[in-house]
Amino acid sequence: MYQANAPQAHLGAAHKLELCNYAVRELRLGDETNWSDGVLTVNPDELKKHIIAEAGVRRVGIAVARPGESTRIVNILDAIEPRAKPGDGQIFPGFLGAMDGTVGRGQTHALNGCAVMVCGSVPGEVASQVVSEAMVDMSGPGARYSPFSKTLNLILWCDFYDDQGPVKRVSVARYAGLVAARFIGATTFEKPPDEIRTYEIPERNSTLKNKTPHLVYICPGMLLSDLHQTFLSGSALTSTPTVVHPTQLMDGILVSGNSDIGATRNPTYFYQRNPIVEALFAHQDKGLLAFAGIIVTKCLIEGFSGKQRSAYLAAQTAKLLDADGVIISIEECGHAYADLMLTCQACEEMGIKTVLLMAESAGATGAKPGPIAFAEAADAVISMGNMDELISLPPVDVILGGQWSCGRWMIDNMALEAMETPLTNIFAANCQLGPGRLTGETR
Amino acid sequence: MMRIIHYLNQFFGGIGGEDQAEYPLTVTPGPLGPGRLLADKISDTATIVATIVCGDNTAQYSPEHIKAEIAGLIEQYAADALVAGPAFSSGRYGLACAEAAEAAQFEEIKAVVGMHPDNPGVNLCPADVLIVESGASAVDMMASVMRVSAVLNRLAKNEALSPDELKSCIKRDIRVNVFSAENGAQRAVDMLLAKIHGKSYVSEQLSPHFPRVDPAPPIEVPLSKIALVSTGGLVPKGNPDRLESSDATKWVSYSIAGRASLNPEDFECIHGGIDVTHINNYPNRLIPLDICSEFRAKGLIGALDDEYYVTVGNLTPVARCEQFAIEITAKLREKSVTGVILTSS
Repeated sequence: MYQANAPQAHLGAAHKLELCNYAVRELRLGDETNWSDGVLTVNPDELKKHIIAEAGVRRVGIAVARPGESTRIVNILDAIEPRAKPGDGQIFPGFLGAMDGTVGRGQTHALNGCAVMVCGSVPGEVASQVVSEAMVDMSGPGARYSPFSKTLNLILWCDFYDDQGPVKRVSVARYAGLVAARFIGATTFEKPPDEIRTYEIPERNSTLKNKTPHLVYICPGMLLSDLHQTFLSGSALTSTPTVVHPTQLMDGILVSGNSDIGATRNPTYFYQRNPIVEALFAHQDKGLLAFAGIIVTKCLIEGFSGKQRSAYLAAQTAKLLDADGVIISIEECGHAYADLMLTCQACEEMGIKTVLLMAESAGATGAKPGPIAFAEAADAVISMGNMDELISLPPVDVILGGQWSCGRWMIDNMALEAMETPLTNIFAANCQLGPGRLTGETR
Repeated sequence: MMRIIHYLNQFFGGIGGEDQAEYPLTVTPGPLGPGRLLADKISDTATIVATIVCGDNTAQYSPEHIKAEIAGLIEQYAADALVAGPAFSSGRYGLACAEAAEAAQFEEIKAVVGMHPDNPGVNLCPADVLIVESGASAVDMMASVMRVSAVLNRLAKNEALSPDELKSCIKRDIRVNVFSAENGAQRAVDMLLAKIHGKSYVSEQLSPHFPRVDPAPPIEVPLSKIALVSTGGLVPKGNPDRLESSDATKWVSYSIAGRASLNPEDFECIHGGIDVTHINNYPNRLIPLDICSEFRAKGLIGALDDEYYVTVGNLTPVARCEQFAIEITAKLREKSVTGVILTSS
């Protein structure tokens, strides 16, 4: 008999993942690349060579940004948690690995509390789409808003060849980030982790399956152009929903390729360490629910009929997964909320209870009326806060990622200087995967 | 005594109707028109020291200039408060009242505006301005002025509004960012479990109020003059007026005189919220000049306006869109347009 997957037979029939967490309490540049007792040291020359050889960037600058420092990171394209899989395990399938039976199974090593942050200047338009600003202040008033002002960040400041257009630039930068994340993640091999967490969805006849509600997570990702997209195992998302196992997210089956509005991007980091997945598993561990799977689809679908198609296919899939309830996240804003609301309506029609996560675009004064679409069935909506709120940022000592901050929203501000900016420019400030504590109140 | 400066449009200021909409901003000492009625009701606590009258179009043409002039008059008359309206449901008047309120806020004095809740000016008023609800038309003048006077008497005496007076003010639903104890994902799972188990929970966002637009009565199409209007961002190549790809601050119009079709060599789409490839390949997909020209040639429509009108709807606030609509409609009326084909992106 032909055995295509013979090397993976050791994983058995169970679909579970052991996430080995290696805490990073200190990050520094040094002569070797190594993790030891909470200290991650990166040899910048070694990493540079590795990235340039594999990814096709022209040059890359490597720096460290720590919480509390007077540092501003601009032109952020994505953030990734350093992860690697020992043995024949595949990580970031479709980019660095193959899509096989090891994705979401076996062991995955993760450097917890640390992010690889890819930055680079990408001017120019593609079908009237541009790369927008995404910045993080590591201290001061701006630091309250981005989840990445709390992580130790390894900055990859990419420089591109002149003949690399916008799509090529974001593509090589993305690759550089993934390569670095795996390279650094591999420093933990053969070392004992701080913590091992086992993730699996309950079996057919388990007490959890029989006695608690079955919850499904519907995760639409942005796809609008070659500049703003999301990859499922290396291929751009389509509007035909796909079921994935929660542990497959932990192995990087979803990778962000979205460089639109900074505040409402879903960074790869929060696909790997997805706050909704974490919250569902935490409640499952308390015996409160049975996690029944993730449905991945696309948002910002063109045309009403396309939106409706995806919404009802996703709801039908949730029904077939025997869902009592679904959580629906979203990416971006504008007509993505029509996708969100239609999916909510379709689920509720089929008797599936819904909760949505959604940011607000209420204008600088908070007086602008709500989103362009709101279904009557949407009676349980989490707010990730008003992305139009203006905040004042002080000048900083260190700038990483570019001298100029050239987003669509804010042309040619000297990045070091004090500035007033809407939250839209703050990386993941209103991320609708739910990492933040920001919410909205009516007054 | 609290010193009040009152803002009125040309109609309530006694100058004239639509024919006087270009009337320049003028000031008269003491109360005028509805101000006389108001002055009578607040005579124990406040006095109207001056009345500003301005044509509705004048206020829309150069809002920044008008705001500066009003701010100057507030200083000149040492006013403690500004009252604007009541504007009822009159759109342009409401927008002008919002401008006057902004000037008052700039001068750091109190502002009270009278408006119907559906007036587009409501959303353009600064957040801390009191908007006292008025009826939809001047039929409700007496009751509206009474409500405004009750609020003014409280402000003059530095007293809190009574529950009824509070109720007479339009609830602004201002959204404010706050930090909660748990992250959004944990709140979402808790809310879903509560919802499934039939326990109470509080949704953090409620449906906004979408005003209904009643369709206009049908028109005699073969006798009509049709204009093409779009929120899809089609502009001449190079975007000469720099129309924004999102959060538009203006609308623009471009000549289509002598054209039977919009060709890709001369026009492009700058809308930032969609993939524009299909429009750029054939701009008539967004603004259907090709089919309209054909219909006109066949006599199926009477005439076509020689310009098209365009803005970008992408992330543009509803209140601003309403303002654009009012302005575009005024222009269309001037050109005797009777029907519009309105296309979005």
